[in-house]
Amino acid sequence: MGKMNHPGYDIPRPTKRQYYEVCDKLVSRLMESGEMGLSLMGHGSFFRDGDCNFGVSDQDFF
Amino acid sequence: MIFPECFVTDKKLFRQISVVFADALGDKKIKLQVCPLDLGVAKDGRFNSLTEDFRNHLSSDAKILVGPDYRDRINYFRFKDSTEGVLSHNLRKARLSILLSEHNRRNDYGEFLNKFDTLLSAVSGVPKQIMYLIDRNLRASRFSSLEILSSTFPNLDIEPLERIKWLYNNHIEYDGVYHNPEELVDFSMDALGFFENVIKSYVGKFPLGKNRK
Repeated sequence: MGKMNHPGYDIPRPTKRQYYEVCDKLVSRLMESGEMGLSLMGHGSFFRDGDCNFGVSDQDFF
Repeated sequence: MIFPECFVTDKKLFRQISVVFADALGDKKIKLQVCPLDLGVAKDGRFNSLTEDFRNHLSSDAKILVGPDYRDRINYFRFKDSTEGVLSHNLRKARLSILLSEHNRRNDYGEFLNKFDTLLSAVSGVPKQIMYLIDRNLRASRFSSLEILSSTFPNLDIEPLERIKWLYNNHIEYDGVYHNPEELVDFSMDALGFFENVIKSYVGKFPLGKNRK
């Protein structure tokens, strides 16, 4: 089997901490951009407390 | 993510946000599901990829992370014409491919190219799909609607679509774009702009009927 870069196969699955880092960085950078009127919402399991399977779940933005 | 413009998004902003996504994700393998919309498409609803089922879900579950809360300005439909559904899906796909283009370029160049191919395929199908919504004539070839599209929407710039057609027939140049990521992103932006302008022109010429549910 060759290298695939697939989490859980030949690279580690993302951690809970990494999920929060991605979200925090995304939000802070978008806020810093100062783009008036741009809207970002989060929904799905990551934004429902206790419902996210870290390492498997997607992060949903709308 | 909702852009404040109506129908035609600011491509400079799109590129900035693509870098923001790339920086935030880094090399982390977290799958992001993003639904990029603009206020024009959101309010009209016919080319909004979210259907009525999402109304309650977003009302109760969504958290506003950045900017205004536009949820009460979004029009959802329970049922849509299948061609409206295809265009809605492809518009989302085209925008998403550009939003994640910088991340893919840095981390997975093959995926970067795949998304470019997908974008061109989606955009080149727009004329025959939009013309089908207008006259219900099914056209086999994706580029066979160029002339009628131009005559239906005389102010529409079809040059980006002619460039896609040219690229499809000139593989050496197509392959050359693969090796020039800046040109590839510029090409993608123009293609998306064409898609958005078609939707804007269509909605302007054929406003949403009051009885549409």
